[in-house]
Amino acid sequence: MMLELDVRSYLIIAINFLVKLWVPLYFSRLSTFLDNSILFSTFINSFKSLKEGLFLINKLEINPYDGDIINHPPLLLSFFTLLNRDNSDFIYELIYAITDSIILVKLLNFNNLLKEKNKNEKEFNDEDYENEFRNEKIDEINNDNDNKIRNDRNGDYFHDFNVVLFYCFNPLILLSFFSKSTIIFTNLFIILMLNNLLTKNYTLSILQLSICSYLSYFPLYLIFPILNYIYQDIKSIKKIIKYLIFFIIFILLLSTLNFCFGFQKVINNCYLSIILFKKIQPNLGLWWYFFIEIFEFFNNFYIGLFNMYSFIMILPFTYKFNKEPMISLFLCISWIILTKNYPVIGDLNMFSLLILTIGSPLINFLQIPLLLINIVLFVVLVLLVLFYYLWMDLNSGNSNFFYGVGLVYNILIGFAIIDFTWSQLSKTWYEENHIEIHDDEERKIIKLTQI
Amino acid sequence: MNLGGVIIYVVLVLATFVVSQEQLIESNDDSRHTNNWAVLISTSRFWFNYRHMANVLSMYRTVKKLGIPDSQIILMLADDIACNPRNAFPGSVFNNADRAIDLYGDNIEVDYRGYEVTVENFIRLLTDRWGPEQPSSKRLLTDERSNIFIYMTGHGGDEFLKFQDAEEISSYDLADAFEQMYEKKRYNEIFFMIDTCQANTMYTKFYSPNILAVGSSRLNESSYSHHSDIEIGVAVIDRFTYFNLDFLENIDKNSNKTIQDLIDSYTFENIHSHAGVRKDLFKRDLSNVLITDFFGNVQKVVIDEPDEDILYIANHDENGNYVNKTFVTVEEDDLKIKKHEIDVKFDSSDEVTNNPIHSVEKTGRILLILIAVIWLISSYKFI
Repeated sequence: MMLELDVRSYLIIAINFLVKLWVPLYFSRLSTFLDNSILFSTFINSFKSLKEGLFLINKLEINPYDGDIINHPPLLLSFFTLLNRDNSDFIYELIYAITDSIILVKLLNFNNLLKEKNKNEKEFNDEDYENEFRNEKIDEINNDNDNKIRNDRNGDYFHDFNVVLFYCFNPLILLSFFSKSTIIFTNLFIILMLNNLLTKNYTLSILQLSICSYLSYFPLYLIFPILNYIYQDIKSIKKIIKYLIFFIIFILLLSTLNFCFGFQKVINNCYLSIILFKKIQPNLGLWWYFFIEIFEFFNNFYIGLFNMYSFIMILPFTYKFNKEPMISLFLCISWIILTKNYPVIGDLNMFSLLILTIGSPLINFLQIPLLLINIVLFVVLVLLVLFYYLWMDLNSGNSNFFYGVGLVYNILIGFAIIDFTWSQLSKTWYEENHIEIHDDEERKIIKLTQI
Repeated sequence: MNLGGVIIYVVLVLATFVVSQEQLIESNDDSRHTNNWAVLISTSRFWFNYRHMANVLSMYRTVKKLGIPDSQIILMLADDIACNPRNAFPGSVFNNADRAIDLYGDNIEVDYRGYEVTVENFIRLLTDRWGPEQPSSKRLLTDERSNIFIYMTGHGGDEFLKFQDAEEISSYDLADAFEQMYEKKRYNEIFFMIDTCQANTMYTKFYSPNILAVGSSRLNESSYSHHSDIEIGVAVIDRFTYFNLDFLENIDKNSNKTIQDLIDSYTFENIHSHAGVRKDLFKRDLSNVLITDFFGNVQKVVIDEPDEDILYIANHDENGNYVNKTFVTVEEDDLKIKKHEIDVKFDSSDEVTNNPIHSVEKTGRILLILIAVIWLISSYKFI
């Protein structure tokens, strides 16, 4: 857990914490403005409804799940009630800033763990391990603490400093933070879970997965890749069943608060409204357009279809990449992000953080360069905001514009997922055939195609 | 003078009394209605028929002003004027170029709007032949003691009235509908007013009793609009309706003016067409029929003319001293009591036991601590 970073990284982490603590206090309208924006918060993760729930519980003492407004699970409300009885802004900022810093620190930890694992595997797998010089060079680059930003990535993973810079200066991460969307808690627990998988603390990671899926519904699907990961390590079915039972117990434990609020109501508000897509709201995702344009006769069909679509690639990814379970986790999380029904930019941030850490050895083998995806993403984000404004405020465009750009956004993420899959497959092929690719020119010699 | 003659004389005198009593009963011109309804329908749509919408909305306003409640008014409009993109005064409909009154206002209740204004719906409305799904706010729930005022405006012709450019209603349809209403005892008296071209032809085929009809123009005669507004760009009111409203503006709930006065106010110089009346089906003499029999509502209150000056009584006490009653002192205890009454209780449902919210907090706290404990334990790999 102890990170060895250079002074600059520590400085940036500290400044990041302070900025994220103080800026929303002084620019409080920023948070409201971003919270109202459709890119950053939807019904299930908006800060407004969280505050509303807390108000209903604390001041008015009514059951917040009576109506349809609050979609946050009761334990989250309870957590905030415990810490923030007086509804002071500062404590909200503090909680969010601390969460953000924990994410950053754990991200660095994760990156380092991945580097170590990669090094160990390389030493372990490489039978022709003669190129000691090359590995030493990689070590030197990875542990190089007093240097400039590295653009050349002879090592497979990004340098700590780069990770810190990426996280602290990424505008999307900043904006998603300032919008105080509660997706940040889901992201926190996903990162914690991934960390604990690498440190082989499986119970804790199952606990974190259960919290994560309790907060939002979709990480529930990740139980499959995680059990696969544990199996790859332990290789005993009994223990897998043990962990599965732990998972179920933890979920039930977390759900005990539901009974106090009316079990049916809580399930209705928090989970059924996600599964059955009860609140049809235009957002970045794929689902909403269908439900406003089709006949009501087909509603149930499409709900079933989209839910299946969301689940359908989890098991194939798990099975195909069962020897590289971290990759299967990466692809499964990305698939969930693509096919969620209420996606926000916070999900895109999760995706980019995963690319930064797990996906970084795969970047060499990508067919579409990441730069291109980023440029198109930039255009798409501008257009999303523009077309939403045009549609809602100026009453000049219509839903088709916004959904069109939303489709492009989803295609981007879809292409990225496909590309990373391809990248992983070609990397596996190279490793199996003991071909070493050192740089771009060598990469151009062999062209792999899929049959 | 024998006894027989005296007896016959006495009998004859008594008979005349009896007969005259019956005549008195027959010619008792007090209406026997107990409630008033109004059906106001504009059968045209589109911007250039602004005046028809304004006609109906003016009648609606008048009828409401004189006391008929919304629950007893059926308003059928295409309702495409106020929010029409061509409306220079969005959300407003005026019936006069001085734009003094906004007819669209805040609380008009349109029962049938847009494409619901059809011949079928109109006839069903009159005869009350609906399936069970029709809400009662859209039905004409009249009985045999109801006086109904029916006002129609739009584009019409020789024995027909055009409904929204798609269909027509003929005078025969209307007459048959009224006959069905009579058979089903759905009205006491009907006052039928129609303001279209060749309007008088529409009431020629009525054959049910107790219907009084007025129309704005004869066969082969057009009804004209009164004036238009430069800024709105179209005509805002029709002549016949304008002069009706002119008369009705001076009527209040206690007025004693009669229908005959109304009809006398129709002149060719004003309306520029020959207004017609059909009164042969109507049993009462028009000079005994009050305007408020149709345009107002039967009042359940009696207006009392007070002898004394209420303003004086309100501001002076018994001894004649001036008492300023604008500032009222409220006891603090009263306020406190009121605060307690506004306590909102935790909502209890059938499935949940009546747990107050504090136990929820406790449970939540315990749960969080439990989760933290499990976290700590599992991070030390005991499990």
